[in-house]
Amino acid sequence: MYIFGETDKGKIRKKNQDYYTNRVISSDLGYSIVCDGMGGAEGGEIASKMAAEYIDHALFENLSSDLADGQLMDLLTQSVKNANSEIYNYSIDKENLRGMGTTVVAIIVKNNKIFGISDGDTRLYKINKITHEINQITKDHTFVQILVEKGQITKEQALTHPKKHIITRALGVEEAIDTDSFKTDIQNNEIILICSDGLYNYMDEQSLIKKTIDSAKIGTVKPLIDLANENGGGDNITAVILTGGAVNG
Amino acid sequence: MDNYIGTKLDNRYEVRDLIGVGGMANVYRGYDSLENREVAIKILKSEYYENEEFLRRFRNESRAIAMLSHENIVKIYDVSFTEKAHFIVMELINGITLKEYIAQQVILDWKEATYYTMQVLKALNHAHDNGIVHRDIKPQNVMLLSDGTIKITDFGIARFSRSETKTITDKAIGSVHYISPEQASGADIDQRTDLYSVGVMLFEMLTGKLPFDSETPISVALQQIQEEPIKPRELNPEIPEALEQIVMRAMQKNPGKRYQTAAEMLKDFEDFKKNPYVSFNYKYTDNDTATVSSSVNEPVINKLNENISEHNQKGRIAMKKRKRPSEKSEKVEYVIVDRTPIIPILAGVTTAFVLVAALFIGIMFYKNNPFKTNDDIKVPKLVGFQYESLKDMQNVMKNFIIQVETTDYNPSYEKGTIYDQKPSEGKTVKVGSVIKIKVSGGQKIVKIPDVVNIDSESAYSTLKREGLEYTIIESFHEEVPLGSVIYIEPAAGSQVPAGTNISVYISLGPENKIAPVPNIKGMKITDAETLLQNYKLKIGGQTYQESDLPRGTVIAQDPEENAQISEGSYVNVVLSQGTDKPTKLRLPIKLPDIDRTVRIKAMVNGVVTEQEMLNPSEVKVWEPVFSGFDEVNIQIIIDNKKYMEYSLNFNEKTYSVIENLSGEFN
Repeated sequence: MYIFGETDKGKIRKKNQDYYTNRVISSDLGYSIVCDGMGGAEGGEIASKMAAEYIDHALFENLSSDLADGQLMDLLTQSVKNANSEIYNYSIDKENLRGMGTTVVAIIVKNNKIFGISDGDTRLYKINKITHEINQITKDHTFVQILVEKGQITKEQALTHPKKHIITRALGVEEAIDTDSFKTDIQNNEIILICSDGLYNYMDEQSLIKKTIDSAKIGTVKPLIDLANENGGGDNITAVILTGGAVNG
Repeated sequence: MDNYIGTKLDNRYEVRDLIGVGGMANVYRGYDSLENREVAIKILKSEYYENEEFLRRFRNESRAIAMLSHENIVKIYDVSFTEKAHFIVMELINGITLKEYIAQQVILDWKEATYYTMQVLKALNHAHDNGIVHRDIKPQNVMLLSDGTIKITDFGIARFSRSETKTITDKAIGSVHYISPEQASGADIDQRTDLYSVGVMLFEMLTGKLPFDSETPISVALQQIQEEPIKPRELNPEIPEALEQIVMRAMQKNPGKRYQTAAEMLKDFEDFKKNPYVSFNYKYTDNDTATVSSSVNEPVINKLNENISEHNQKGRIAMKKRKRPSEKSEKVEYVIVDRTPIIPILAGVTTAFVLVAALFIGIMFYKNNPFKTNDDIKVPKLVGFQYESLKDMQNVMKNFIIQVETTDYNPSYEKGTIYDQKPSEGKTVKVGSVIKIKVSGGQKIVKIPDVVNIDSESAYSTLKREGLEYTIIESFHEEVPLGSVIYIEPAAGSQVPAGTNISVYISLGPENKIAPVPNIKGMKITDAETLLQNYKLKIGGQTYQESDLPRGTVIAQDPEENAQISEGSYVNVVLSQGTDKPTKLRLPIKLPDIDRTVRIKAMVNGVVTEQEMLNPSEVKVWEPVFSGFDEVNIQIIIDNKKYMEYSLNFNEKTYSVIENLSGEFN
């Protein structure tokens, strides 16, 4: 298993409010957490870091290969929910931090199985490097996604919708939070990409697929990050790639 | 921070104080020393200065907006884009927003609403004729001056403020209430979108309610797209039917069925002003194109016309409602009541609280004076009610003038609750009398006691005694002994309301975590690094040795497996160089023009490989030699500050600059 990632401030923002953590516990057990913070002058930066570190800590302390699949999912869900309370309680009485929050995609990888949680608009894609097929595994918790689901706008309209930056769920904003959990797997010819909207909003799907495959080949996500920057780099950019096979294979 | 206060822009505009903060720009009160007048200066935030595309659009659009010249549009005097600042100089408006005004008045007299809406339409007509769509018409963007004049601000700004900053839905709530269905769905928009928003705004003025409101902005947006609004007259039967028809036409979902231009909508208003009983027979069946015709229902009313059209110049018209039988719905007859001219009381107040008070008194004069009644009335009970709720109490608002005497803190009443009134409840007074009230400013304020460095248990009881809540947060601390308070938030000595939750940081004593070193021999260096990370350890120095193992495999480690070392320590490794010899590369680095001795270091993947003391202005170029395989990250550090960062590829013998900070060294 290979996990590697990078985060970049982009070309416009002064701060990087994205934060990610990857860990490999053993050759068949690991996890990744990607967060994209929001709110205030400092809030976003603090919220994403707090969330990633809290979940990291909880997983690092409790994760072991003995856990059954159901237990893995419970551990993940509980870690994310606790991270939510942590951030919420921390920000509630601080004027300058109130309302800060963060998106999250957190996954545990065990052998070729993937257990995940998501909140907000950070995405997890599965890309097949032979067929170039792409699947968005996470669901966006955004304003425009709901409009799409209600049949009020098309997917094409959603891409340029003026309110596409509005998300409907984030960690740390409210006392309790709903989470989406998902299960998937990764085969030898597949690549998992976890990324913040600063990446996927700055390239079309074909480029995303191509650059992900390039990135997986050379073992760094630089091709993805560079393209997002070339296309404006209007937001913080984070990409994490997980491959089943050998990096150079 | 973007701090311009005290500076002079273009050698002409003195920036005085900050009067408004927006997502994209801040607005300052300023002084134009050439024209000798006060101005408002809107300065684009510097974070946008790097974005060429954005700046180009901002400049073009600002210049277009500056061409607009209309008495109901905030005047733009100057648009300037310099190295120092990108800014727009505008007319300084001394007024409040229509939103604030609606919030205080709740429901506006329909004539007043008509007067304001017509001004908005005149402004839009001018802008639309010049090809500019406002895109964000809402009462927050409509300024109301003390003489009743309307000024629209932020033309076209919505196009830029189309921010990509992530927000959670409740932050965006303000704007969805007025957006058109086509805006909600992200479709193309034109001038008709502004007319929809005017319809919503008029609806709100007339009824005191928003046509679409819900807990979440998503439901509001969906309502804008698919739901029919309730008819305004169902909320307020006093609204003339014709005005309701105007609202409903402006708010048609399909832009093709709306007013097509501001002029068209204005025309209906003109007709309505001439004859409040006009009926616009708009039909909205699917096949119908809208038809327009006017018919007069009540010729009797003709004498009203002049008076209504002269409204706001001569004086105001109050109305009384008399029910009369009619075929369909209740008809309303209006009787003129002469009254003295009223200027909405809109002083440049500093706090909303005072503003509310002033307006309450204003409304009282407005509503009571003309009736000139001298009837007796019993004083109602006001003590215990929220001050804010008075505006909903029709009998109080109609019959009394409310004056706020004090707004002191009062421990036994919540903020905003009335705790005293004069005269007291049950006294008989004349209609129109003054009731003086006292409003609680909130709870008791306490000073946070100093509990730092004392034992946690006694700290908790001290805080409790003062009526404060607390939350315990534990963390390691080198000096503060186990179980004592490290610090508290807010800090000791701060004044806070009783019941405030204080964060108390309790020491767990010094942190001294020991980690066992795992075995990393035989692993690839990248895997070893990840594994060490899991143990909170780091890879230290890396040296290469010939070996049969694949290149990059760890063949020795120091310390050895199972050694106990502190977290954060380094583990040095010896790596296999395979059968190849490492490549040596010389990297010439141009030094900054600094005339003193500095310490310069080269780091490979975070480990120092070469360092030297030298004088950059004499040496000019430093040429460290690197050896290794594949691709590495090189950082050049001068006096502990990063100077350059490269990616060096030993296989291809090439390098690329990742970051160049040399600009910061001159």
